[in-house]
Amino acid sequence: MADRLGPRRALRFAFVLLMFLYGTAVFAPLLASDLPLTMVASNERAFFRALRTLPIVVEEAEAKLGEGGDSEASVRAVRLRFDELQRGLEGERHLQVEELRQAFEMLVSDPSASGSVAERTAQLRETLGLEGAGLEDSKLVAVRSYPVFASLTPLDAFWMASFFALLFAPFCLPRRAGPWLLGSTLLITLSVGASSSFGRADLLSGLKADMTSGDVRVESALFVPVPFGFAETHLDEGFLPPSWARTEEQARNDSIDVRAGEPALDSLQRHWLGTDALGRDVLSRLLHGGRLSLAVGLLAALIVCVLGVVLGTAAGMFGGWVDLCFLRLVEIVQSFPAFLLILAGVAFIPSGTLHPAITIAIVIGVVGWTEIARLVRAELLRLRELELATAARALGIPPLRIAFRHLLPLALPPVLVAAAFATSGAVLTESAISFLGFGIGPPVPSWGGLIAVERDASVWWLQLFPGLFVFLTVLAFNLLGEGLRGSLRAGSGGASAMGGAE
Amino acid sequence: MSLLSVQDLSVRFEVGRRLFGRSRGVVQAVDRVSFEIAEGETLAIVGESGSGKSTLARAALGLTPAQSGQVSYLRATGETESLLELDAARLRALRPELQIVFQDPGASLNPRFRVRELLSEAPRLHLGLDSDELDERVGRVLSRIGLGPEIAHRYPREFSAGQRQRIAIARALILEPRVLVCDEVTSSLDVSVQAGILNLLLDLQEESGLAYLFIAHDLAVVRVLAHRIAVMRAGRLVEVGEAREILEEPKHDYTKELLASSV
Amino acid sequence: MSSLLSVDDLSVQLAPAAGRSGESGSIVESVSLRIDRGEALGLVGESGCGKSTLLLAVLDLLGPEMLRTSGEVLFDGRNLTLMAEAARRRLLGNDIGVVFQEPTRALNPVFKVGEQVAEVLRCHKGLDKRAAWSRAVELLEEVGIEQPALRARDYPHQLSGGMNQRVVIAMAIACSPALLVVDEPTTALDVTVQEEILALFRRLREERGMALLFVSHDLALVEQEVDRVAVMYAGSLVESAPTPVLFASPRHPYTRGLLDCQPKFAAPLTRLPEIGGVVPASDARPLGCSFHPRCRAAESRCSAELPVLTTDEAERTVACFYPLGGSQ
Repeated sequence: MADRLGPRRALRFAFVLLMFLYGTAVFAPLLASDLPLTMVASNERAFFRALRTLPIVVEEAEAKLGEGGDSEASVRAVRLRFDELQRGLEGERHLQVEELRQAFEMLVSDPSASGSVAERTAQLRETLGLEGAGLEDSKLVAVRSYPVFASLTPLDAFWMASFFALLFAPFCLPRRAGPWLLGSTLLITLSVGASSSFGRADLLSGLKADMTSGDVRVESALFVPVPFGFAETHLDEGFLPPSWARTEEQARNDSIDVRAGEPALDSLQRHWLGTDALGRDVLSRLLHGGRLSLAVGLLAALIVCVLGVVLGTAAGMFGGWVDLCFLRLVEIVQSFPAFLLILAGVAFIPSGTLHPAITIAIVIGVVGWTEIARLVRAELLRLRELELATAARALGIPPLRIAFRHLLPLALPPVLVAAAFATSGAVLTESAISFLGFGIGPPVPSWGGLIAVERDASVWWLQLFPGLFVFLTVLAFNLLGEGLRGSLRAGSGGASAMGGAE
Repeated sequence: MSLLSVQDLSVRFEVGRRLFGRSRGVVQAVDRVSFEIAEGETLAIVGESGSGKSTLARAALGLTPAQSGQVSYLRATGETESLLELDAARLRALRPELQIVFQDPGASLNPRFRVRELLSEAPRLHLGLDSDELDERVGRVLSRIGLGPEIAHRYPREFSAGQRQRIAIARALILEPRVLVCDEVTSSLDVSVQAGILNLLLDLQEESGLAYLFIAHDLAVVRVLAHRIAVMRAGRLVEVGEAREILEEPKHDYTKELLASSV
Repeated sequence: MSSLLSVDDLSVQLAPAAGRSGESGSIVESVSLRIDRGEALGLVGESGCGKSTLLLAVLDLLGPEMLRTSGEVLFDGRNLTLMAEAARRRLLGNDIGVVFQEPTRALNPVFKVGEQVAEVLRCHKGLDKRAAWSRAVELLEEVGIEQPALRARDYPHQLSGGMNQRVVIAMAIACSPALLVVDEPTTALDVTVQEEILALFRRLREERGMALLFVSHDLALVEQEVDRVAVMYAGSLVESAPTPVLFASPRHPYTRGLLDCQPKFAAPLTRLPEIGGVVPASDARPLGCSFHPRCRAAESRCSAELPVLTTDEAERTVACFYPLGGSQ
């Protein structure tokens, strides 16, 4: 396909595809989540819980303050409740609470002072009533919040910002910086960013449930395009085909509850790509799974490149026993069937030390560096015979510097190509590992894992779509490699042409 | 006391390889060659391709391993160093004083570096100069070779063959060497460009007393620069002497042959 | 009309391609040449003057990046530029023999040298295998290869550069062409071998009465080999004259400069006369006479007008407003 497109078009196509895939992965939390983007709501349950427990907590705090013991936790608990109450009230009521708060704070700063707030808080509770009877309009103040954004970790945010930067970088950076800067930032950023989003304990927040039940009273809310969390189960909706492929009867099942923010049962927007055994939305899992699969792919490729380039350069440049050791090492590593070695590595490395995604990436990297290393070594062997290497020696430049600063840059074009292919290979490997069940366990999704869930052909949507995404990723990286190969061959300004007459 | 003294230098190459790594044959590229160069003098080594003259030059500088022989170099401090017996680090430290310019500047100048980087890398490593001092040195040497400091930000490919060769000379010159080996430096250049390079070399020698080891295959070119001439054939020196003698009263038959086809 | 090869107002430019902005300079600009039967013409110029491109254009062997934009080439009265592909193919190798610069590259490494010479004979003369082979061995002997029957079975990499060049020459003269075209035939060879090859050309010309077009960057080299010399600079012809006339009293300042900077004429350990400056790139040629920025005799007219080739009494043509008078 790359041949028919030509290198430049292949590169552009690959770029577009990769931006799409990585974009959906980077922004997955904003695309598919059980949390709304923004909402104006009041959290009644939280309010009344705070109201109910306020007097108790105040008493406790006062007691601790009086004794002179460690009161910090208690004081904090009180403050939290005051916050909650103030959030929900306005006008006169708000001022009342404010008064009480001031009084309490005075006590905190001067425990010896007399006066107690506890009783007055109890009074407040009576006035307002546990059902809110004492409130005007029986309504709490509704505030605007941004739940999805609040749930993002700093690394997530960094990742998203970098993505935009990378998207516009080609237009802003001077030509010289070009592909290098782009490639390395992309690599590092995505690797670091990806490893951040796993291990988040709050896979499922209770917000949606609260919204559905009314504990959180919503005035308005804007949900993400796919308003289903990747770990959110709809047990009555298991094995639902994609919305556009559904038959009449499958759609009409009134026992299913439609939760807050979700589209109606017969709407096309309900589960675009169907659900799995536990009723989890496939599209949502697909988008979030991309984070894992793509990140592992890139991280593994990064490790492969670094290991391969460093070892290959050393072996090619210094020869002698360094080279001998290298060759024997390569032979040892390559004599094992790579995939089985990876499986063994993943299976036997104790989990818990590192995040499993990083572990998998490391194992793939440590097993797969040999190809690039041999490539680099061959290039170095050729390059060091060139006159520019002799000239550098004649200038008294130390061999290490000659290898890495003079020769390696000339050797890199084929390495870049190999790196692109290494990435696609790593993504495939990760999918295979997950498919076989050795990858990261549920509920964290990964593409291979998604395919593996059910092998029955009747639930075709569970296998087709993850497989499609894997295919697109591999296609994109292969096209990238082919495109790089074609364009680097065509006009690299002397870099790969070194060695021939001018 | 000579500046550079080569004694009985021999270099051997293995040719072809059999299945288990044994070589098929041996080529004696340089066979027990001895010569001396005095300060400020140009010794030309003339021979056809395959005579071993380039190998000789590189072996004398320790860039190609030699099987036997000695090379003595007299430093400005008065000490003599035996180049082939030095360890790698010590030899590297001496490099600024013994420089070499190659035949094809397109091949010896790394195309990925700008002129400024090409010229300043070695002085930075050997002399530890800071950025300003380096810029100043680079500017000075570029003016000296006739190109001017404003070209420092360009790449070698932006220049003509003659200009590239000047840049290569500048790269050697910036280290302030005492011996400059010129390995067929004008052989791939047009006649008019060659004249410019030869004139430059003459000027440089007059200004700074550089000694040249000038390798060439054309006796006509050698005439312009050489004080003494050595004729090389199949790894051996067949005749050595003052330039005038060699050119006007050659004794060896091979020298006469060379003379007849060059001049 | 009696001339064997007549080149008239030939110009070559870079072919327009995607991404190339507008006008690019011409590689060859309005060059006209003439070679009579049995005559030898030397075409001399330095790197970048366009002589090799001119040669390819004359033989209609230009690659896709270049385009002949004007002029015509007549060979033996027939118009080469308008000829059909098949007819031109019959001409090359048959009536016109070509020898290029790098002999080892011109030969096919997987065929024996004898086979390669024989192939020319089989294509153009229709000889059968055996006849072609024995004729090939004869040719190898004629070009001075010792033990030709044995050598004919060798591959190019087994022979030296000089021997390979002789093989290429054998291929070029196999069909007894009327014109032999050689492009820097000795540049890649050793000095001693060079002399032998030049002697070979002289002998072949004498024996066969071939005309010769000798392209070279070395002015001094062609002095013994050709009857007339044409000097090219920056894509156009600047001077052309019979050899002794040109060497004795060159009229164009560039020719003068070229002759003066030859090392063989200089005194030892003294500076050579130089032509200052560099050859302009094809897309950066100065207005008016392309040589004027480097010319010591340049006047204001030289930067405004383009000098045209004018012929004088000594059968000499010069393109200069202020040609040098007098002798060396």
